[in-house]
Amino acid sequence: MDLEMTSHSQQAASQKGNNMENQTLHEIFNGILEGKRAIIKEKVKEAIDLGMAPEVILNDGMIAAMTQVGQRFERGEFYIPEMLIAARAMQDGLTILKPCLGQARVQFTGKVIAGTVHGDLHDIGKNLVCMMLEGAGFEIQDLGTNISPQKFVEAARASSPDIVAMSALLTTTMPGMKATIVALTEAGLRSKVKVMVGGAPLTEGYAQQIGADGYAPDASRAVALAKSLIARQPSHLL
Amino acid sequence: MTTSRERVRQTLQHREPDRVPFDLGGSIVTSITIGAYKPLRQRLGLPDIPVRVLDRMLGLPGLGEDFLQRLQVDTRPLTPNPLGEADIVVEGDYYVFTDEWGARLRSPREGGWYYDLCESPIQEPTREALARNRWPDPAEPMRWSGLRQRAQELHDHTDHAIVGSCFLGSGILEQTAWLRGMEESLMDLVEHPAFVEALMEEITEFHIETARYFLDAVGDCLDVLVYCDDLATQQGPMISPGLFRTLIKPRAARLIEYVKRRTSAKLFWHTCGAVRPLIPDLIEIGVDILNPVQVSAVGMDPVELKREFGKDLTFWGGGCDTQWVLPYATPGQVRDEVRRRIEALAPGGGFVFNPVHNIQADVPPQNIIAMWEALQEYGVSKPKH
Repeated sequence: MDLEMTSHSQQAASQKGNNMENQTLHEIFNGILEGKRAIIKEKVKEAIDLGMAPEVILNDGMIAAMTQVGQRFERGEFYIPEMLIAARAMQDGLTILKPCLGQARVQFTGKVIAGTVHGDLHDIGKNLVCMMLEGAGFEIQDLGTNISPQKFVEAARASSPDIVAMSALLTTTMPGMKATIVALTEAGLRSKVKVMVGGAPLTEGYAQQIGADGYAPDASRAVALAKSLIARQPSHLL
Repeated sequence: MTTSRERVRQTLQHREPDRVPFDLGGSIVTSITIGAYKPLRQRLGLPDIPVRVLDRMLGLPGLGEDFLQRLQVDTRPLTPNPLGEADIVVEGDYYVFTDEWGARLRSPREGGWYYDLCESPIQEPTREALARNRWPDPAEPMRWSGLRQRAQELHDHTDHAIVGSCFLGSGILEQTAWLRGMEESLMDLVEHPAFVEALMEEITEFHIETARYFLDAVGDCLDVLVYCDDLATQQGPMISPGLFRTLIKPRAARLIEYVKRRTSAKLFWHTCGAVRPLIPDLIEIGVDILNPVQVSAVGMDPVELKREFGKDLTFWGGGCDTQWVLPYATPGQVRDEVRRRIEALAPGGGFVFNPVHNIQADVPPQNIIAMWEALQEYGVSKPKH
């Protein structure tokens, strides 16, 4: 999959017949993979200055790189440190690219609001999920930690996300997930969003039991899950 | 009649004792939270006595001697004197305090169960920031006063196995997370290796110094010395084995070697999570005991662990899954779980019973009792043929 992406990016760039553009995309791709913040900032600016289409920079440079990051994590080549530095480099690049994406009206893959549930302050897993989703082209609103069902509902009402994503590390705080799903239902919002859950004590079985739409065991598979949840949306929302 | 101390020593020597030894409260990673302790005391018909907070961050009580006797716990803890903790203040929706490392911890006022790190003291990955950092003082005499007398009392006048814990803060990897923040410290490992080496050196030397005070005083009385360093998540090691072997393993080896020159106690290493890929490394550097044996984590099936590592390691924990079974199953299901785990881990010794980590507040007392009763029934050694 990553070789296809790389060759796709090569084809896309060579169709423009420009070696510099091709080279810059490669440097963005590798820079993210290696977590080189300074290089990313430089190369994304360079790509913009070269007049490259923002969606090409995003898709073929950045999202392609983050997809590779996820695969390496799933293969056991990348661990949490490598994921964190790659994701942070990607975020730096995205900050520079965002105004251009807005101008070019590039669509996000979907919108996600995320948070760690009420009573729980653990967030590294949730942060990784948010970073990986952002790296897959999602728009993320990270509410933070200790988020009550009411706060999830208010945020969902205000920003109409496609997905509500919840994290918990503790068995003692997991019940906050069901409470949030109930609160979304009572607020008339449940049918308008997909709910995904994760965290160390979570399982597929628990997610189903509480009425969530999906569970993922790690940040990389959370991306695949989010994409599949979006795809099940009615087409007029896509 | 085998005493508690003999029972624990036998199992640590990989000889199967009369029954599986039971630890509850021997350390702050093998205990029970206040929220579960009080209902359990009540259920056991024990008097409603005031509960002393032993560990504010983890929400642990000091366990009453009546409770420990009633449950026939084979171990007793031996620790330095705690210095007073800083006052708790209210900041918005949180209770907050600063610990002796300069780290700020907070707990939600509503719905909170623990104190968690919210701000770390070393804000930049530089030697200057490291040099400016104020470390706790292991030499503080108040930590050690009366320790020898307490150790001798336990050693000479009880037959419990003595589980020593002396280290301030956490182990060599985990303490970097405490001092730098979790995400920052993990990124430092890859981005600022020179800084990390310097920081880990200081942590290692700090632990060696603390161990010197403790072991000079009571090293001859201990059966076990506890060291905690979380290395893994639910899914696998937190960092690559390569990075572990370069940065942490040699330093941990040095610390363990230092300890073993000063005590014949067995070295207990606490690491949550799916740590299996690193177990051979831990054995290599002198770890005798693995805790908590998180049975629900990837690769941590006790049957496989016993088969692969049973001759080298004592499994201290793994007695009952605590992410699903202990809090949510029926008492009957708890019994079945405990039976399975004992069958897997007890043969040939090398097993001390404890569930996986501290018993949380969402565990109903009837499940704890079911766990204990199953231990009584299935923990008795079968006669050899």
